[in-house]
Amino acid sequence: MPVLTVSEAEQLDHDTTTLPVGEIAAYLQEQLGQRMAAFLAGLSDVKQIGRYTREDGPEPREAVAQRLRAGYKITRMIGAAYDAKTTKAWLFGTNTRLDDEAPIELLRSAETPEQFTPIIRAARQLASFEA
Amino acid sequence: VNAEQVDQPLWRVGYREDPLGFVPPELCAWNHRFDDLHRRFRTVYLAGLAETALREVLADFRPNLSAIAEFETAMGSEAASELPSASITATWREQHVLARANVTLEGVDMRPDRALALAKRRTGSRVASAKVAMRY
Repeated sequence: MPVLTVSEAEQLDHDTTTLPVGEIAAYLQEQLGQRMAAFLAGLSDVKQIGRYTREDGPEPREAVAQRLRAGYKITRMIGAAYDAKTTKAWLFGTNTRLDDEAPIELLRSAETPEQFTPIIRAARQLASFEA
Repeated sequence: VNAEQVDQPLWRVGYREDPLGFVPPELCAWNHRFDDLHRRFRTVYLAGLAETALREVLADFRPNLSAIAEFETAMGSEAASELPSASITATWREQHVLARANVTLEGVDMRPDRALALAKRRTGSRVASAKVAMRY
């Protein structure tokens, strides 16, 4: 039985779309570190990720919010099957399913839903132990 | 599986509790080479050599030096402290095992000439169906 179950995947889909972006940013900051979370979101200011976590903090622009949500989904998915260290190693890996690009490089420059899809699919394949 | 390989063990690096198991259909990506376009059956991918099976799953963890350099440039020299110290983590190693599979094709004589004749006789088409049993 794979670690990522169908019900867990559905719960993750739900959380990814419904959680406030501040919570999403806080999770990423905790799991990946402030710099890596900021880099993943395509931010140039490291401290900006911390501002999003504050109750009275600013809202990220749409593309940044989408990157944070996709990053959250990937980090929680791989983290549940492995751990945060493995997530980081995968994010900075040379991924054969992504034309030998590093997932984090694609994430930080993604603007449209179609650009997130192959990255999330590749993460799910790792988390579900699909070759 | 080539006819010559049927008597040889095959290899797969998979999840420790069920290394040769199928992924639940709902989680399948259905985008691998031999995956069914119509999603009627699932496929377990095996390698002829243990080394190949390992390379297959480790490939995506090769550190991308370009991405690492960009990360350090964008986020400062201290950013390196957030990178993992090893690309293959202890948890990854704990979660995977290298499994050996012996594949038995039941009902089909895999010698090339006989397999083709049997396939035509049984199905009347270009495709032969074979039941695959695996032991490991």
